[in-house]
Amino acid sequence: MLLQTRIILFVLATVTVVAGLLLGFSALREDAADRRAKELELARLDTSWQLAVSGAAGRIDQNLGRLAGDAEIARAVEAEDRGALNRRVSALGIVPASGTVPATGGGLTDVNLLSESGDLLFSTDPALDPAPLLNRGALDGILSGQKLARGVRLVDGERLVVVAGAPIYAGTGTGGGAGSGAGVAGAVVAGVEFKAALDVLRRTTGARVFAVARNGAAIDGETDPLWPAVRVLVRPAERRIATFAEGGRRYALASLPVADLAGGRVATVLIAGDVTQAEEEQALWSAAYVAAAALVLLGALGLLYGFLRRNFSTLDGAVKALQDLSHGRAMGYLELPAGNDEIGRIAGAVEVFRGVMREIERTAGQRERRLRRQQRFIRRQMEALAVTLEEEARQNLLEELRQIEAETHDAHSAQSKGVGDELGLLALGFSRLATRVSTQQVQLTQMVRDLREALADKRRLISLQQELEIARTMQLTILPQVFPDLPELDIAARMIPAKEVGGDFYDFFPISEHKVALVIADVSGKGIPAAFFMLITRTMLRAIAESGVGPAETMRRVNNLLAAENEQMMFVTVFYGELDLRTGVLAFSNGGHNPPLRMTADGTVAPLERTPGIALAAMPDMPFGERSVTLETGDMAFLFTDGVTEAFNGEEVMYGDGRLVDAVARQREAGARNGLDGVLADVARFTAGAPQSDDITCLVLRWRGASPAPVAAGNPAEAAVA
Amino acid sequence: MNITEQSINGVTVLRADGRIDSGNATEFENALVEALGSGSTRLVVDMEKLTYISSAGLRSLLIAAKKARPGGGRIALSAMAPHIREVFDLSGFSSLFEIHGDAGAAVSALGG
Repeated sequence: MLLQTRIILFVLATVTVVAGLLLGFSALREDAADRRAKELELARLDTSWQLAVSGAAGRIDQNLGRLAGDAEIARAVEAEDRGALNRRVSALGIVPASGTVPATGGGLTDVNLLSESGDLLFSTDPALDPAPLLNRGALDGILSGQKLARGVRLVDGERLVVVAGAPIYAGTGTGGGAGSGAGVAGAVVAGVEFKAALDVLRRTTGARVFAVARNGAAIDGETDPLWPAVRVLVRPAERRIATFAEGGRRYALASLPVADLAGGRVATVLIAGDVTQAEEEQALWSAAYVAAAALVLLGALGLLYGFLRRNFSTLDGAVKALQDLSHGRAMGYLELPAGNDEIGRIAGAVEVFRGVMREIERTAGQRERRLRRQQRFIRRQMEALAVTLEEEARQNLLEELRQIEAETHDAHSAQSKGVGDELGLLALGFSRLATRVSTQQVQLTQMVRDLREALADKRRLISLQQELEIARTMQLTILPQVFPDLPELDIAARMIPAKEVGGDFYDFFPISEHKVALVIADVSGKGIPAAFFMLITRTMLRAIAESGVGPAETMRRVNNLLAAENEQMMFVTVFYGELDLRTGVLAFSNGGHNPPLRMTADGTVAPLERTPGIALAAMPDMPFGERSVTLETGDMAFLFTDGVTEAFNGEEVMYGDGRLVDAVARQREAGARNGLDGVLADVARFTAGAPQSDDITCLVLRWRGASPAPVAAGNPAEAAVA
Repeated sequence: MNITEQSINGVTVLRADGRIDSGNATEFENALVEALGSGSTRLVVDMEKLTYISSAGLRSLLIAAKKARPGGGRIALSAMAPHIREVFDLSGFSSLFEIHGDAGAAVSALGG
């Protein structure tokens, strides 16, 4: 509820309470006034009644005067002569005849003449022992000459009479004046009808007059049209004023109990006055009073409302300005009145606050612009940094930047939030970037380490390759490149080295004038050690073979020499043969090597017979056997290493002895060179490019037949060297 | 090549399967030397699953035999496929090693 409304309600409540209290007090006071007014009215009416009674008594007084002033009566009273009295009274004609109803002309209804002692001397009452009109006390007052008794009397317990009494002075009519108390001879008391007083009252007040007996029975006025309305209001014992409505008029009914001269209530007079006009005027005044009060109240409230409205509109303005400020609308213009009162001061404070808010907003705007500049700068820097990253990381980073920017634009709607969140997003971006850079750093470090290792590996590889190169050079150096051109035989050999140099070698050299040596060998192991071993073996073989001890012995000696200092446990399989050029006899010894094949002129291919013996250098003091075979013209000897038969194809299948035999068989017509090439081509077809794991070495010799003449023209050894 | 080691009645049995060539001969040699350890270890090299052995593999066996000899260790070979046996026969290595038909026989022969 608005403060304004609360104030108005509060004021309204207060005014209502005060007005209620005022009205209450006013009503109380009015009530009291009313009561007083009623008392006054009753007193006035009472007075009117007394006057009416006096008026009625006044009529008695005239006759009383005539009676009291009559000398005859005075003498008769003084003399207590009842007969004289009766006669005189009747003669005066004042008293109505006994038992007749007195005329309304104010005639007396009752007359009493009493003696000085109070004895009733004359009464109009025809009863035998009539009661006096006055009791003794009242009579004594008259007789003493002090007081004239007048009032209402109930006669015979049923008739109401207005009575008055006067003293009768002795010597009346002879000049005796009143006032000489001693001269009282008796008293005269007379009465008129009670209605006479009522009539007087009607005349003097102009009101409608009713009378009831002490028991409430109507005495007078029952013919009046108001009587039925009055009758219900009759409270004989109460002295009061009641109001009632009848016939569209309002009446005030005053109830006046009437006292007997002797004391006690004997009747009640009811006076109904028409108060319609007065009441209407009063109602009019009351309505005017209430209306005026209401008008004043409403006017006051209206003024208050207007006042509050005017003042609160200023406060409302201040409140609206504050609300605008609280909603961040500091720019909304609102004219607030200046002033020295509280509202003015509030308005002033709001104005100052608004100014501060505007300043804050302006500062915030500047800060935001600065932040945006920084953000753009940072973005450029991050982009520049991203360029240095690798492609994938760079793309990720740029994507994150775009995302951050999008989120920034989204947040732009709420300014303050936007500023805060931009920093947060920027921080997020930086943290991601930092993570990325650190990840990249780790990757780079790892890469550098890998590169370093790779470099070391490469160095090792290079040294290994150099080693291999050396080994290969050594191998190739010891292999005869050119064979002597001998008439007895056609010879060709080839060694196809594996990637990693193996230990195959072959040799062909003269050992005497008529003999040449054939060697094919396979050193176990690879690389430089194998190459050295090969070199040593070749050298030993040549050296010992030339001593001419024969194949078996040559082998035995070489074996022992090699096995003696063989820490590396290397060994070499060797086929060694000595061919006599004169006879074609080939003597040979096999040290664990694949037996060469021999193809005869008819195309039959068979391995040479095996001889006892093992690979050289494996074990010293081993026995070696020796065989010989005589070559026929056209025979072909095919020496090879296990690199040929153990050549694998892509399916891990070995070339094998069978295929080799077949391949050799197909070279029946070929020369040594062509035969060699044919067999190697067959092996190459078989392996079909599968990696070569071992050296492939072949030596082919075709025997052309013994020379007809002894060899004299050339020294085979020299030829070989050449 | 894959080598598994098993001990039967105090005799170490090495089972080599696949190929032994110059590429993995060193590994084979190390396995043999390790199995021999020191002292009079009796070793059976079971060749039932062996498909190929090159001269480098023969050299590994030779090294193992030479290493075993001073300490009184013994090496026996078992369950050679025919073409493996041919290699041993050709090179004369058959005369350097005990060769048995199966691993059980080899173990028994070594006293296990």
